[in-house]
Amino acid sequence: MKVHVDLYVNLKKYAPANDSSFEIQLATGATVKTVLEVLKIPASEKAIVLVNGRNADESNLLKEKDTITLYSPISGG
Amino acid sequence: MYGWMGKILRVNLTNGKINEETLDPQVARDFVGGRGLAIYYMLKEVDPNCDALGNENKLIMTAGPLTGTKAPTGGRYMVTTKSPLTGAITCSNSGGNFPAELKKSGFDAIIVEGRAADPVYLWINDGKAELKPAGHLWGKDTHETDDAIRAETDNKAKTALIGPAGEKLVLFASIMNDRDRAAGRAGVGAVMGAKKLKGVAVRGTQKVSMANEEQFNEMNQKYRGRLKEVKKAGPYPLTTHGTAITVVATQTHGVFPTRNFQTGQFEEWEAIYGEALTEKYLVKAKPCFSCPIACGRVTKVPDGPYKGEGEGPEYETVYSLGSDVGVGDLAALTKANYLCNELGLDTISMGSTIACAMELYEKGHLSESDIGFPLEWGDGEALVKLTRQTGMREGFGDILAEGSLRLATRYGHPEFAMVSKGLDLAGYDPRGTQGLGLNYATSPIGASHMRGDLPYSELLGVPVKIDGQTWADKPPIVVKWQNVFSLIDAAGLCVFFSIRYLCDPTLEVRPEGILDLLNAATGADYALEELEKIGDRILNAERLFLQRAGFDRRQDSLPERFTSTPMPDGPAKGVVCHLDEMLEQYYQIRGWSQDGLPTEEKLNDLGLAGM
Repeated sequence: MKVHVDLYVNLKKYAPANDSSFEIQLATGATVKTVLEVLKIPASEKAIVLVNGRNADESNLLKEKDTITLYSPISGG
Repeated sequence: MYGWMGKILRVNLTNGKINEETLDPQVARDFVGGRGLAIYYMLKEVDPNCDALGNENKLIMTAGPLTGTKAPTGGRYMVTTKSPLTGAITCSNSGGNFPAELKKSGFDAIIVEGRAADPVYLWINDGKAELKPAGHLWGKDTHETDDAIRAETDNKAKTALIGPAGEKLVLFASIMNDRDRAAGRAGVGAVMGAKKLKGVAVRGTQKVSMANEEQFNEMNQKYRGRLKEVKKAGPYPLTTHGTAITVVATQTHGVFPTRNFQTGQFEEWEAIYGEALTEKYLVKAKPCFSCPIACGRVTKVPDGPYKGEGEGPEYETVYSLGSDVGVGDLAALTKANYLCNELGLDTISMGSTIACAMELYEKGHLSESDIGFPLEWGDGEALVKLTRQTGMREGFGDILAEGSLRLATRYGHPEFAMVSKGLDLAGYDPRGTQGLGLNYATSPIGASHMRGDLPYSELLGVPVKIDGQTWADKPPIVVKWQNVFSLIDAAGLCVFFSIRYLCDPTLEVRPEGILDLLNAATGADYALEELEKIGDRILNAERLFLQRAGFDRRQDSLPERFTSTPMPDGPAKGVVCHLDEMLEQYYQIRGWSQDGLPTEEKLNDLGLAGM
C-alpha cells in the first residue's frame, strides 16, 4: 500500500530525496513504527506523530492513502 | 529581603505624589509577585465595578522574585488593571529588558493611581522617582518616544510606554517595552493613556540579593543544562525559527484559525510560517533578559510596498494578521505587525477585529461605503491600511478601535466576534484543542492562551503529546495547568522555558524547578504543595474580582461557532467543542458552585475569605 509522509522542522533531513513531502510503499500490516524504521528516524528525535491529523503512536496500523505527519517537539507559541 | 527588593512605588498622578511603601513579607510569601502581587492589590484597592478608563482604576506593574536574576528566563513582568475592552480583570505579561531594569531600580512593583491633568512620564533612576512632562511626546509613536525619553534621561534607560493607540484609548492598545515587546492584551495601553501617562523609564544598577547564592547558581546551571541537552541533539526550533514555527502543528492538526475561524487550515500557510520568515526576513534571533532560548525575531522587509524593519511576527501574529484574515503575503502581515508595535496595538485583537469586519463584509452586513473601500479576505493592502487607521482612530479605524465584539454588535451580528469575555481568541481553534477551549472560557482575562496553554501538550508534544480532540480527560489537566501558569507569572519567569524544563515532564506539571529557584533566591523555604496552592490562590483571587464585577458562569462561554458548528473540514472535521460538559467537571474540581463562583470553603482554604 501507498501512504503519504510529511516531515517537518528537524525531521526533514530524513526524507529519502529532496522533497520532505512524499509517498512510500509499505506492506500490508505496516505501522507507524515501520515508517520510522524505513526512514531511519531514531527514538532520540522524540518525533510527534500524527496519522491523518490525529494523535498516533508507533503501534498505529496504517492503511492505503493515510497521511503520516512527523515533526519535532516545539515549546512555545 | 532576598529575591524581593522589598519596596513598592506608589504614584498618584492626580496630585503628583510619589511614595515608597514596604512590601509586606507575608503578602510576598502568599502571592509571590508578578501576577499574584498585582491581584492582591487590585482586590484590596480597586472597585471591580469602576470605570476602567476612569480615575478610580489603577495600573499595576509587578516583577517577580526571579525577575532580574540569573534564573533562566528571569526577565518577565505583569501589567494588571481592570480592562476597558472586557470589563474584567486583565493582566498582560511581557519580557525584554525593562522588567529586570525595573527590579534593579529597587522596586518589586509600581502602582499608578489617578489621572494627570497634562501628559507625564515616570522616570525612575536607581530608586529615585519623578514625574516629568510629556506634552511634547504626546502623539509620537513608541519608537520615537523611546528615543526621546532615553535622550532626556539616560541612554541606558529601559522604557515601557504607549503609542498613539493608547493615547486615543483604542480599547486593545498595548504597552510596549524595549520598543517591540508588548504587554498586549485587553487594553492595558488604553488605561495608561486615560491616565495621561505616556510611559515609564527606568535605570537600575542594584543587585537582586540571593538568600543562598551558591545554591541558586547550582540550580540555575542544573535547569539550564536541561535545555542544553536538548539543543545538543539538533537545532532548537524556537531559536532557529521563532514561535511562528508553531504553524506546522496547528495547520497539520487542522486548528490554524483561518478567515475568522471559519476553518482550521490555511492554503497559503507555507508562505507565512517560521521557516519562510527565517529564509526571507530574519536578521537575527533576540533573547529577552537572561533567556537561553531567544525566540524573539529581529526582521527586515528589504524592499517593496511593505518595506520596513522591526521585530516579529510571532506565531500569534502570523495567525491574527495572516491566516485569520486570509493574508498569505508575509511582507504585508509583517508590515502590519511593525505598525502595531509602533502605534501600540495588540496584534491578536487587531487581526481578530479586522477578520470580524471581513466576515461581516463577506456576509453582506457591512458595505464598502461603511469602510471606504472593499474588504475581501486576503487583502494585505487593506490590512495595513486598517491597522494604521485603527491606531490613529481615523476613518473606519475609529470603529475597529472598539474591538471585535462592539463592531459585530454594532452591525447586528455579535456571533461573528471570536471572543470569550470580550477578549479575542489566540491562534488555536478550540474544536481541535478542547482543553484550550475550556481554558479560553475560564481564563480570568478572557480568551488568552497564556493562562493555561494546553496546546503545548495537545499540539506540540510538550511535555507529552495528548489528543486535542478528546474532552472528557481535560478538566483536571486544565486546572493544574492554569494553576502552574499563575505561579510562573508570579515568579517572573517565561512560560516557554518553565513548562518544559522547570516542571516535572508529565501532565501533572509539578513546579519542582520553580521551587528550587525560588527557595534559593528568597530563602522562603516553600514546600511544593504550598507553591501549587499559591497558583490556585492567584486564580481564585482573580475569579473573586470577576465575581464582584458581575461575572459568573454565563461569561465562561465560547462563540457558537465552536460549540454548535462542527469544523467543516480537515483533521478536526465534524468536531465541536464540548464546553458545557467540561465546565461542570471543571467547577467541581475547582471547588466552585455550578454558577462558577468560588465557595466560602474554597476561599477560606486559600486564605482569601474577607479580602
